[in-house]
Amino acid sequence: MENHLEFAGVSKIYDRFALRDVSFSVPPGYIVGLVGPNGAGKTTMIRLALGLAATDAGTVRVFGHEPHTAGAEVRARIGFVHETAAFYDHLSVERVAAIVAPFYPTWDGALFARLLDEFGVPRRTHAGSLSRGTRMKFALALALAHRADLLLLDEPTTGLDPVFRDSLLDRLSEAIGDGRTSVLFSTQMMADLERIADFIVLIRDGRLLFRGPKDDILDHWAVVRAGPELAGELAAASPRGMATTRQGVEALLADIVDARRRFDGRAVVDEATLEDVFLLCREPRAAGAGREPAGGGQRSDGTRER
Amino acid sequence: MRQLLMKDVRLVAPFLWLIVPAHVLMGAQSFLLPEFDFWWNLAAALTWTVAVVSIEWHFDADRLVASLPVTRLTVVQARYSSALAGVALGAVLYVVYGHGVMAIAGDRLIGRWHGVPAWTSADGICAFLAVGYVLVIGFLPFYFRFGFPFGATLFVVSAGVAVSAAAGLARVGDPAARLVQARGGAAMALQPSEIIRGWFSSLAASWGEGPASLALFAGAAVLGFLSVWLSTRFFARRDL
Repeated sequence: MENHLEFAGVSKIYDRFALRDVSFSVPPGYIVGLVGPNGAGKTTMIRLALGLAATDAGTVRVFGHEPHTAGAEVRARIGFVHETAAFYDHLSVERVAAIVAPFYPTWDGALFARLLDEFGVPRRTHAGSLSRGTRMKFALALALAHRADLLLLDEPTTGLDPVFRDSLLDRLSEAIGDGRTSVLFSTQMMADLERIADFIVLIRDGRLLFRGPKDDILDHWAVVRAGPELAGELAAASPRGMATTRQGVEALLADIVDARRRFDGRAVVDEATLEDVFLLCREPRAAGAGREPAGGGQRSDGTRER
Repeated sequence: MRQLLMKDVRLVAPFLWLIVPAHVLMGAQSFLLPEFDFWWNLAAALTWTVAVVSIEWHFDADRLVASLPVTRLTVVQARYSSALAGVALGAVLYVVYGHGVMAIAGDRLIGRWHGVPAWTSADGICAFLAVGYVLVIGFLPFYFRFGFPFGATLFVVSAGVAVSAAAGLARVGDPAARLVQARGGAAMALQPSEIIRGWFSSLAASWGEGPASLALFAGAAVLGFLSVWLSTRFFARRDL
């Protein structure tokens, strides 16, 4: 089945930031977590996927079309949440919805009303009076109410209380249950990714460091914590990232069996968590086996102070 | 397109009540400075366009609109349609308001005017529509290229420079400028209907009225097309 979203060798150059040679895809029926620190390029990627900016190199395809020039029928299949949800703040929630709804042929008014009730978004309150969390809930209700095939969510869980975050993640999991809906959501919250993401796309400084199934990381990757005397040996083991700590060094290795064979007894070898990957991963080498399509990346120095 | 036009209506709907006090104010100033009536009314008509784009800028909603299922070409076309509809609506209000003022105090106004006030004539309405049209098709490419606050500022500065340059050239040999000088100087210069009539008369004298009218409409259409084309190109290239 055709991927809902595809990035192929995408670059976007700004004065002070550049996204370089990013490739990944979002297949139907899956949730892809886009993760990276502030300024990594997550919002730029969401904007490219929405057609709000054009690429400088490479191609972005949404349902097989270039989003920057895609017609209304393609764009109607996308639900979106921007990092900073911008509405017409002088209008009430229901009036903003009355502006947005006519654009979507598949808009489900009953579903939208149900979502507002469920999310606790007051209908008659001016959008400008909503708290940050409630604005995000309103944006999510707008994104979900037209039963989009592809949800592009830029840090949708930011500012949400843990209870609602939990129920939102459940809802996203439900949404992909039909096998035709897919989700790309950016976040810095590893717990969100561990719960619902099928694939992880990790970017840092505009470069793609990892793309692949989440379970590859959780099942196969290892963190090796050792004294400084093993630094050279760990560096020679092709780590995906290394950091110097007060106690010694930490290294992220992509094969836990090999790591245990080589370092057990001399170092602490643990299963890697997504947080470990987020903190340590510096090496943009090809991902492990998985369902994701081929893509590229660049090498960089793999060590840092932690 | 229809959804975008409805969006504009909904955006300014909370402020539509301002139309009444605005025209009361304009009515009051008609007795003080009748020369400015045309421009007051035109400014009120253009407020529609400015209000919509400033609301979108203020709430950073360009990104929201561009994320909706519409192409950028449609966004551009809808903005032109909305702005020109605003000018047309303004022209209607201009006539209605003008006739209202004339019915109440026409004799006093005529006494202070250089003839019958512009709103009572077809020339005045044509001038209103023509100047509104030129301002809209001049402003929107700046807006789509640079966004609202900067684009508007740049447009005002550019328009000021263009008008000054045109006025300078007009002094050299333009019949409209001679007409303005002959019929009242500065006060007449504030009446575009007189200027446009002067230009049209000189054109009609050379070509005949029919061809002159056709040439004016064709020129307006070409300028409008050029403006939409530029705006579409600018907006397509803009990162939001």
